[in-house]
Amino acid sequence: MCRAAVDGLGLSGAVVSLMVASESGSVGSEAIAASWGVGAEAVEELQFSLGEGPSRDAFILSRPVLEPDLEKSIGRWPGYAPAALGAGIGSVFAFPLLVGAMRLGVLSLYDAVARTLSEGELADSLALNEFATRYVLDHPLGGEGGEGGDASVLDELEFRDEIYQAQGMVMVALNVSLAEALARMRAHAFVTEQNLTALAADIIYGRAWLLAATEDE
Amino acid sequence: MISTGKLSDLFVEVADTLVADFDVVDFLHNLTRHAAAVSGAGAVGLLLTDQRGNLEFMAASNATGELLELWQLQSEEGPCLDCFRTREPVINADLTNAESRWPVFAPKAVAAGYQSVHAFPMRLRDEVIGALNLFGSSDTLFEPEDVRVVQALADVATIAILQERSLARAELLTEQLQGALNSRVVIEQAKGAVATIAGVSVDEAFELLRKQARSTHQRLVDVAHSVLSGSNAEYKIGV
Repeated sequence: MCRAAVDGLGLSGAVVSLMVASESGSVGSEAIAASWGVGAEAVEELQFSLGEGPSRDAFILSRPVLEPDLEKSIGRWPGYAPAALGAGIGSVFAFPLLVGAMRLGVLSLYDAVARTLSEGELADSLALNEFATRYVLDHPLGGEGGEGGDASVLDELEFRDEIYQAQGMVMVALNVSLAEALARMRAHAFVTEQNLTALAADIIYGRAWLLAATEDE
Repeated sequence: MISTGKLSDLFVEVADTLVADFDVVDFLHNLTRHAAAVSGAGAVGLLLTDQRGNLEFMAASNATGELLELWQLQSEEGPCLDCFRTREPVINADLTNAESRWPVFAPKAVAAGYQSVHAFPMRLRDEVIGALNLFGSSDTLFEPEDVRVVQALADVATIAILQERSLARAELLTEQLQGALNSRVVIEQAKGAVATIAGVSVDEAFELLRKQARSTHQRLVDVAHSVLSGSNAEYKIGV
């Protein structure tokens, strides 16, 4: 996917980092899951060691952080920007992998020169952002998460308000993370051959309860 | 048509809000409610672009307003979508006579009790980033001066999303727009969490979240985040 991003958008690098939020909502831990392009991984790692940069900001702010010209962002990232410029990076576009408050990581796109994304390139980047989010949801690290990797369930990830609300309910009821709550809902929907929106409505109106945590442990 | 008394209330609130560090989701929700009160419309909804050619639901004055927007998105037709595509407002459209224009949506809207509809583009330079939709009875018709006022409301919504006067960077729009769309999702998730914590409906949970935000002078989305990160133990939401 990173390679497709680099080739398709004419960039120099792309990196998917997985991140876990700390208690304060900042970045607790982070790891690179995939990358493509010369030096892309090293530039991403700069942020890990310096503790600042666009990927971290995108994760913390829960929105894209787009810097078409790193020269102009030295004030914002006094450590990172000069180091990235020194490593031959001119622009960075960081898109968080998230669904509401469920934050999974960041897709960072790099180019060697200062440049903006055209309307079409932006649409493609947002599509890649969504694809990466779904991919990470389906392939959680450490084996955590549900069995709902089936394509039909994936198509069903047309997120709707009922699903978000039910996700919050399951999170509290089972005392798990939002990501885990969604994984349990998808697994339940898959096993009971029901669609996720219908299951979510059942949860909201008290017609369905997911089994307590012992089920998968 | 436009109620000037209600209009001044609205401008006072808008001015109060836009100078502070405000919550865009809560603000747009209030804006749709004010737009309904000012114009006499029964339901008002607001859609935003996802910058990939699609619109997403953002805010509505009531549950019917939300439904009317979702129906348009589902059937891929309707005044909001036309307004977004053509970049022009839809004014005084007669829903009872619109079956050829919106074969799926128009009959549904009529069945829901509405006869007229208006849609105003949220314009930013040469882009349209969303649309404001007003549904009313057969006598909710807008005069040219009403049109200017409601278009101004749509422009206020645009400014609220940008949250910054400097529009120098096109990237800013993407950052703010995507952030706003995601904030709405955070609030939906928090509604579910609070409903379960407090043993109330999701609608009641929303009111509890708003009350919490007001009484602690926090943004709604920040309260929602703290509920979801489990750091809200001290809040005792719901009692």
